Amino acid sequence: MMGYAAIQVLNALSFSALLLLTGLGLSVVLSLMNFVNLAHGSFYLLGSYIAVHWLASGAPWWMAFPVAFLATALAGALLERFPLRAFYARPHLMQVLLTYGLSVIFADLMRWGFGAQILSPELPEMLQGVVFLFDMPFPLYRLFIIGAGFAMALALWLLFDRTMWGAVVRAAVSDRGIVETLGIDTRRLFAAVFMLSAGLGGLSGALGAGMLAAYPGLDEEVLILALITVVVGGLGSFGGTVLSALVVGFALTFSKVWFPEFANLAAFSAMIALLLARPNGLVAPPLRQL
Amino acid sequence: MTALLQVEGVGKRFGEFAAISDVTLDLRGGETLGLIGPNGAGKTTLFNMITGFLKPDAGSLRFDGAAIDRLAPAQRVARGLVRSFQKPMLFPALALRENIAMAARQHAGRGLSWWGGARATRAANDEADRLLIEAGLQHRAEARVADLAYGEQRMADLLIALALRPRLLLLDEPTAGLAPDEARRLLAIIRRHDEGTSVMLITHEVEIAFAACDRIAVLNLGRLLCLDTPAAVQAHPAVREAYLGALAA
Amino acid sequence: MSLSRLALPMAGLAAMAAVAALSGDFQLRFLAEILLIGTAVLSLDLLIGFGGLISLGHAALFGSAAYAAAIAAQHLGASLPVMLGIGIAMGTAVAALMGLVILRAGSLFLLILALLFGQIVWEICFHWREVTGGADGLRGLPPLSLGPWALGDARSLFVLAGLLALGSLGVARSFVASPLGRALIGTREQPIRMQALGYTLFSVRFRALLVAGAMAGAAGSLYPFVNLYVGPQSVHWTLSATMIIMLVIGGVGSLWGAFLGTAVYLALQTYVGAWTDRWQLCVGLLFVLTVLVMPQGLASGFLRLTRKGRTP
Repeated sequence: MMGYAAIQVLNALSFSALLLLTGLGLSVVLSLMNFVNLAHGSFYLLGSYIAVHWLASGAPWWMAFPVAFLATALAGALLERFPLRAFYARPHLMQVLLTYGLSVIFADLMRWGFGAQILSPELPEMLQGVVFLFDMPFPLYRLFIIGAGFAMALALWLLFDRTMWGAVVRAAVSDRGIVETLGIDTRRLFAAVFMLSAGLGGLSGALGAGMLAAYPGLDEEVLILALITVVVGGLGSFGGTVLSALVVGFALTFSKVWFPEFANLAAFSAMIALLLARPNGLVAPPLRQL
Repeated sequence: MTALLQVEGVGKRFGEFAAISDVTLDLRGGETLGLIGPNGAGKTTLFNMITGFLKPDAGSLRFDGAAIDRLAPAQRVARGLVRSFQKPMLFPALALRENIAMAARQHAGRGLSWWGGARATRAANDEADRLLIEAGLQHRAEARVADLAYGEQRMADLLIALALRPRLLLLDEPTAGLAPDEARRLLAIIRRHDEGTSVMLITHEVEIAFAACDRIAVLNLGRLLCLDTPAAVQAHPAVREAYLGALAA
Repeated sequence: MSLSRLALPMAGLAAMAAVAALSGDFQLRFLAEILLIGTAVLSLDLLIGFGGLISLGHAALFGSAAYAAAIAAQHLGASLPVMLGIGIAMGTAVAALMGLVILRAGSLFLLILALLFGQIVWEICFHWREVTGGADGLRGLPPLSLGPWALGDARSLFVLAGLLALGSLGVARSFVASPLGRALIGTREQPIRMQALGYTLFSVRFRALLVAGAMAGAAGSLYPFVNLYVGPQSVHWTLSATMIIMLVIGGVGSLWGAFLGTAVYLALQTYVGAWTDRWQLCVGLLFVLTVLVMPQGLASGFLRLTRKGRTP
């Protein structure tokens, strides 16, 4: 019993780690540029496909992750130039429409390029197999996801909290005007942040491929969960996103344990209840005056 | 004369910053009360609390003898507590007449009707036209509000508020940015309507406050410095020091 | 009522009669599908185009009404007024529930909450096998009827769908012109001022959602009878998203553009889909191009062209 619970907790943690990386990418773009990117799931899936093919190619396995990060960041940079940049100042409706349309295009392009079947990566030997915890087997790779995911989140936290660049980003989140009067080029800042966001999406996709595999439609599933994570966490709050990634990850994992038939129903109802109780998210940003 | 609006020990903090501390004042039925003070004195914050757009941290509000602290903005409007905004807040895509009719319909209790809405629409349009003629803007009735000049927008903002037939009209800097003759026209319309309507008027143009108001409340740094007749306020040493001094600096 | 106000519906009826007389079975069923989904998209236009409420859960209203009608038909038979009544009641009831959940929060939260709500409805339809048939959906429905007349043939279905579409268009126009519709525009344009005018945002938006729910429900109630089948896809959020795509292609806020957009989308799906596997790519490109180049949609682009043609 103890072992079973521990395994489920680890399952939830590995899922949370993926949600965290994906959610952070979405969240930073949303709180900094006030931009809703419904194409974020495409970055995730692209990252997954890159990892699957890289790991099959025989090249050093660990490079799959930086390669996925860089490739999706590059895709993000191109996309940011055209057409997303022109939509930062537009209403959410237009952003939602544009990015959803792009995600439809990318979904079909990826189905075209990578096929419609479910692809699972060939994991490197050192990450294959299981470890035994309280006599229960647990896939080693998921431990790697937890470790890598939370290490990456820590690195991001250091980046945002401890570096000059992070300070500029945080200042721009709370008041863009002030940052502009300091002579900082917000266009370049936004482009860099969007690249980082896309890269994080791709990186979490690369990590997640070993757990969720890669298939058409996964982009939408991940997007929805990442959106929920961001909204439940509260906009513009790093801690809130961490907390809500854990909440969403645990809610989804344990509702599968307790209500296997109606897992999503239970989890979504819990999320709705949470959002109704705390309409501004778990960690609400300070309210602006009227 | 009994007070129409009573503000009792009201306070509001934003984090560390006390925007309003312990303000107590009353507004008598039929009077025009000026609310003056330098920038950041908390005038608009006080307005937002009276009209229900901000929740006070402390104190209580009574309107016409009844507590209104728990009422939503819309419910306060239904009791006759009507405000305008510092920047004209209009429906830019709609015609000027439609902007005013939106208020008139709600005042007539037909704001959400559908069946039989045609009659409500006609009555509201008539009311809007009456106000537009009074303001000399009838020739602009069909214009989109976004296409109006700034002075016309300010006037539209006032007319929208008047279409609600307020018992207490709270005006936030109604003459800001207007040419002198525009400001005079606007004040004349306010005066014509103030029979049966009390007015609370935020302004930083001291001459207007002294000319138009029965009494004047002076706010500084979130506190009420004094509340008295214009002449007494003008002579008040603390006001001269804090407010007029700050203005001269 | 003036002649010009009657002219448009008359032209619509005449066009319908001509199509009904001349088209084959497949086309008629296809057109009926366009008209029914178009009516649901029209109801979504009330929310998005006039209220600025981007609901990603609109299929829940349409689909739950479709299921309700299909389930009722299996037990009670498919009498037209009963089906319409059940669909409208179901659509309105689900909209009321949805409104209580989603109308409490700002735009982005509303989007997510509507999506979650819609997916909950989908989960119910997908997993409650005894009643909804689960992933297989419900088949073998009795054909639609009205008293002694059978309405199950393609021609009758097309005419019914057309009448419903015309009627809904009339209802939508009257709604938009009514004080309630104006108030809905007001809540989109200037929510704070609306409160300062004594309007409660929730009351305005909730009523609009009920109207949209009733309309989507009416369309949904006839939908299962086009192909005598209803499945979980009709509740899924991808249909909600597809409805938004249809609306944008047709033109947000134009009302009749809803039908245009639906027709373009379904035609692409059917005809391009028969010719290449990449029809989704085509839809995506068309959609993104519309957003980039003609954000007002085909309806207004079309109007602009004809107006240009008329004035010298």
